[in-house]
Amino acid sequence: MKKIKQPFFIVTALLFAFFLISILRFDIIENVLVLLVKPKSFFLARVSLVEIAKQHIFIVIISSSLSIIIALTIAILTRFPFMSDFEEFLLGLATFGQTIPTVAILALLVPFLGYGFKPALFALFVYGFLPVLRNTIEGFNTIPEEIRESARAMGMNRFQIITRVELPLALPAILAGIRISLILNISVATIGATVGLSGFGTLIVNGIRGDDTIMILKGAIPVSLLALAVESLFIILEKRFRLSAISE
Amino acid sequence: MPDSGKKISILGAFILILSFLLLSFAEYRPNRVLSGTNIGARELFGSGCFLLIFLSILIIFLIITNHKGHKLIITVTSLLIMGLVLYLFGIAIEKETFNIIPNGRISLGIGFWAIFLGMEMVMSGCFKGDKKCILYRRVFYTILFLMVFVFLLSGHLNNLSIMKEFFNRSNTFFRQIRRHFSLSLFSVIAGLIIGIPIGVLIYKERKMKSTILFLINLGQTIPTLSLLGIIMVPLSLLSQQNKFLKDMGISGVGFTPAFIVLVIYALFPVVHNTIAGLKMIDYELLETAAGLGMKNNTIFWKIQLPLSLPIILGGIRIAITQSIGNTILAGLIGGGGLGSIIFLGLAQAAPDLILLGVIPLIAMAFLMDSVISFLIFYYKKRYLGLAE
Amino acid sequence: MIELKNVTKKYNDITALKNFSLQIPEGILQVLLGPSGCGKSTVIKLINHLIEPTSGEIYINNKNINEFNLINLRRGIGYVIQSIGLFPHYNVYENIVIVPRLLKWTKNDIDRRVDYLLDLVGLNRNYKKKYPFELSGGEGQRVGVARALAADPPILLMDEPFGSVDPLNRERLQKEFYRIQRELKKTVLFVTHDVEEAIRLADNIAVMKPGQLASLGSPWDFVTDDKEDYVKEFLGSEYTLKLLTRFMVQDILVQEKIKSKGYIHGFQVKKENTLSSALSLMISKGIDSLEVIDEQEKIVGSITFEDILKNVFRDTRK
Ligand SMILES: Nc1ncnc2c1ncn2[C@@H]1O[C@H](COP(=O)(O)OP(=O)(O)OP(=O)(O)O)[C@@H](O)[C@H]1O
Ligand SMILES: [Mg+2]
Repeated sequence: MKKIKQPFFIVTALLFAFFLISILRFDIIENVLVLLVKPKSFFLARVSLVEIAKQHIFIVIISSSLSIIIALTIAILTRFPFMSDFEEFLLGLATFGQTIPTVAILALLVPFLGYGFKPALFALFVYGFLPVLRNTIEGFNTIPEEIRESARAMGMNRFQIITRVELPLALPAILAGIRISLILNISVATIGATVGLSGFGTLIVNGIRGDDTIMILKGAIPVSLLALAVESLFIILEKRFRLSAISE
Repeated sequence: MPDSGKKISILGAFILILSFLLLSFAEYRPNRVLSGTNIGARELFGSGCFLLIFLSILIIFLIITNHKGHKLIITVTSLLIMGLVLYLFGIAIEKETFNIIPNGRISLGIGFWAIFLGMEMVMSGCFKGDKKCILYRRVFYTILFLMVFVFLLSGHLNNLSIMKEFFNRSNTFFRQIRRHFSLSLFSVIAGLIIGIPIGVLIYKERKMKSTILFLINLGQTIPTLSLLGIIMVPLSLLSQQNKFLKDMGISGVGFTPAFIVLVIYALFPVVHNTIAGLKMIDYELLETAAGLGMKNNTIFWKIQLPLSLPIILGGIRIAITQSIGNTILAGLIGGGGLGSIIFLGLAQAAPDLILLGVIPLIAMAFLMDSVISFLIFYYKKRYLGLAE
Repeated sequence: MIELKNVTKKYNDITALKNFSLQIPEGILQVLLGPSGCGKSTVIKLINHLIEPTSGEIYINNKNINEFNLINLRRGIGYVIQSIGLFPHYNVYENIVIVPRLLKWTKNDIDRRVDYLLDLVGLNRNYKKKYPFELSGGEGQRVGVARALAADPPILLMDEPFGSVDPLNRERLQKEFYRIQRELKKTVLFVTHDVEEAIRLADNIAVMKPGQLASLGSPWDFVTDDKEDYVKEFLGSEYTLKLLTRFMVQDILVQEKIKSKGYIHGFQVKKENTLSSALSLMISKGIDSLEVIDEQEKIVGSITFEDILKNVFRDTRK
């Protein structure tokens, strides 16, 4: 296990702090921005950023937990003989699925699921699902065959091999998958505004439509900070669980 | 066919059969936006439905009686099913029942999309473990796309709602496709012009590596829409204050901010893969080259670049498919492209208009992905003598 | 006792083993010697039931291995895998204690066992906290051996366990392992393609040609001329000389010659040196007798070229 340098912790903590400040006391930032930007007009009504943040984070957490649990389960099932035939197919599907643009999926779901929370939740689920599935399967695949063989040779059963050998060795890859999935979901939840999901994206889209720069930034700044904070938190986690033997 | 592919193929064929039996292949709506009634394959295709089911069962039979030559027959049968579905569909929607109400619309049902999944499973099982698997499947899908295209051109499917949407705006449609494509392509080219030198520089001067990669990664982490918003603000300020920029057409909305965001997004895969490609080259090889008296410049152009090209191309592939997707957002800020069709569809709640925007988008992403994959394959085989 | 009866193993089109039969009596160190790709690892994997034979039967203690519980069978067999196969996410300690932990030993027993094993394979006890990537190839293989011995299994399967150890340490490990095996009386199947290693360790040697057994016997049996050409070629024409490495000077030490000083030319060997090194010295100095000394450098006797000639292959030369 690697020691992680302190600056990483400091940066992560600062990012989370900035995020909290940006949603709790946006008025401070707003005052500065007004001076800088000198907007022609802007929408002074106090939308509650905390409320918006709650909604945004809520949908990301719900969909991500769903997709992480289901993707991990499926990926682990492919380690068992009866499902192993599907591994390659699932991997192909996950790779192909990731080339389909997010907005396209969101838009395609609207005719089936309507506007608002439902299509967004489903799209977020799918998009969170693919990278975790793909990274977990690939993480399993990079484990050398001889490691698996020696685990079997020592009399570990399938379950022990998975929990004691395969999962710990694939952990950095899995964490990377979860990170990609969370970051993607924060982004898709923002774009979700275009299909009527409320969150930071709503402010940005409304700001763009109403030519209100302050409102755009009111959505864009907190959500960017949130994404950066989550990213750096996961970078620390991945470093923590990466073995030098495998990474180098 | 390897045994391990059988399960997938058979499951795929079952999905085909089940969708012919159970799923709706068309949705009939009294007008453009109202929701309507679902029509299954039996009702829609009549006795043709049994032929389709028969063909699917034939596929299962061919899979079970494992034989090398069967792969080709399975592929042809799959294509036949697709062709038949399109043909029968065309005939069905010309029937009077669907044309009583003048504004009635008929669009594709979920079953139509399910048979794509079924076919993908049949194909992936069929060619599993084959060295040229990816190539075969790409050929299969290219033929499939061509087939759909021919049916669309022939006017056989003109009664379909999505075609009506198309005829309503055929001139803007092609303009938006061109615009979308050029916006994605040029942003990636700009990304290359900036990204490759940065990659090379980082490879040489390892000191700045983590800082620059960190900064470039930031662009990837910040949500697309949010980055777009953030870029718009200073641009609009600049154009307000600077008359010259304004005359140049640079402003907070439209083409410019979209382009900048796309370039930022293209940067990461390009830089990342450039470094990875250069790093992969054996150090001894470079020493040998230097030992032969090559100058650094020659080494770069004659050895490092050609050898790392496949990986750099891989980066370009990621960049362009990503860019094609993200270009949709240009539609939100008046930058044009297929996004404007999709957002219009969303605003009007017209599902077929959304589809009209999305289908060419996915086709475009798939096409560019295929073209670059093929380039990589060909380059490796022809110039590097690598089979895979 | 391990017994393979008419075992055939096919990987798709390749026949790795064809009608292979071999008996390994209890407490015997059986070496399996053969060129690369002849199916040695396949034999080992079959016994550990990592792979199924295409046909034929395998018995352990007269019980078909299909009748064993697979997991218990494997836990009762120590296996040193050819590529070492240490778990990169476990440190040395955790790697060694895998099977004892699976068998639910107490922490105390486990700790004592690890110390014992590290001493046995000659690794410093402070290696316990090291991770596999911090070990050299040879150190890794020693951990591999310790891991195989961990739960004190009655049977050991060793697939080229000293393959990547340097010659000096390899010889030391071989000696050490020879001692361990004589002491613990385990049933061992030891795979190698190194003839000298086979000679040093084996109670019995089985020479393989691709997919088949070519010849079987004790190391001395191979000195005779009645072997087929393939075996002679594989063992090499210096086989007899190599066999001298199995003997120590003390094995044929003659006490009384110490008095007849006239023989001795003043050159000395240690009594635990091999006969081949004694012979080397004689040849290089052009002499035919040597003084033998013990650890305290005290002269304990002498040997002559004639002693070697007369005594060593006495039994096989009939
Ligand atoms: N999993 C496998 N699939 C296909 N062929 C295999 C497999 N394992 C081994 N073989 C083939 O079986 C033959 C015997 O292999 P084996 O590993 O038993 O050889 P070996 O004697 O241990 O060689 P080495 O000394 O190089 O380890 C070889 O020709 C090898 O290519
Ligand atoms: Mg081997």
